[in-house]
Amino acid sequence: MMRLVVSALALLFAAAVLYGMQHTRPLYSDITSPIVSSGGMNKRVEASAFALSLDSARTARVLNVETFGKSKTYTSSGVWVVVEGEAEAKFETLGLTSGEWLSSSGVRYVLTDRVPATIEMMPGDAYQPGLPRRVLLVFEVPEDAVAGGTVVVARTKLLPLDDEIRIATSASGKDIEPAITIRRNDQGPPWTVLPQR
Amino acid sequence: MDSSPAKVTLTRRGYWLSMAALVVAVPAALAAQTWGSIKDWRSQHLRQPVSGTLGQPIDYAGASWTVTRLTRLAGKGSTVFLAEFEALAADPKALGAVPCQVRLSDESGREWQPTLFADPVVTQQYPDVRNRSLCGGVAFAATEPGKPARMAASFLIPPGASSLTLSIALYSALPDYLSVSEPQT
Repeated sequence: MMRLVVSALALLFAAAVLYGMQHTRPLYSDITSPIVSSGGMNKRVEASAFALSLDSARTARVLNVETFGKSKTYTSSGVWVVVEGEAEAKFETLGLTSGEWLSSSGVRYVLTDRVPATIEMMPGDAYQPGLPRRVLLVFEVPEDAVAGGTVVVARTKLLPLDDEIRIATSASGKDIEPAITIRRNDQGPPWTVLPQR
Repeated sequence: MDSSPAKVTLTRRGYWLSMAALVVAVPAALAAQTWGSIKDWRSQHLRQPVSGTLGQPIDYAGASWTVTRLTRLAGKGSTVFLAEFEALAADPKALGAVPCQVRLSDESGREWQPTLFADPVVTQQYPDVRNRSLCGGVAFAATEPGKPARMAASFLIPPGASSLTLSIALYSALPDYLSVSEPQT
């Protein structure tokens, strides 16, 4: 009789454990999610394969782009967020093809595809070990997604368990400039964001 | 229920035999399942250097390879490293379809990929390298038998990078790859 009770208890215990495991099982996307390194503005944030620092995050209602002597104006129903910084590969040449603006409510916005390719944004460059390089990221987001936004950068969105750097910007959403101009330079730094501050 | 000592012994023996079989069967099943992945990993990551010397021909991947010149050029805030090399193959067309990988590494394990002569200093000082292929493919396809396929690769590196080694890997010859170090001055 005792043996029967013990067996029944063991069976119940096993069922409870299995039920618990089933309901606390992480999703595949959780298991393979990127390995995040976080930081703030003006700080070099290190991931295993690359490092990133951001020194400027500006917002504007209108974006002007000047390349080869021609200027084009881009309006938006939201606002433009122009982020500048520096990235460096640590051990091997790599590309940083994924840049996102993560709003405080958790919505992700990818880099704009409206800016012409003559302005080199972050995904278009190769990053060499030991050679830090300036990066430019431009997002078009709703006005309420600006405050408390975070810039998320990764080599690619497709590699599981790869590095991801998240930098919380200082954007408050209140200091929106009427217009910002990105000018392509023929010499020196590849671009300049105007008006300079 | 028969619980004679002989039956109990038989049952116990069967139990322990099953346990022992598990010890063998589980690793064997894991090995069988992952063998393909292990092979893929080995082919991609395990590399065996075939060391050569600057200016000296060395046999690799069915051709005689010579790294003819390794040059450092001052670029904008960086150094441009230009590697020139050639390969004499009995049948260049056979190598034309083989993918090739060129890398530059330093003593600390950092690895640079070619920049496709992106820095103008290369084309200004060595205009002839612009017409050369990076490695393999077109270089061999455009070469007549008996003539060497001439190739070149440029790299952007920090000025302080030292003990540089050029590696050339033809996928048909992996895990072997050709490795030539920059002479110490």
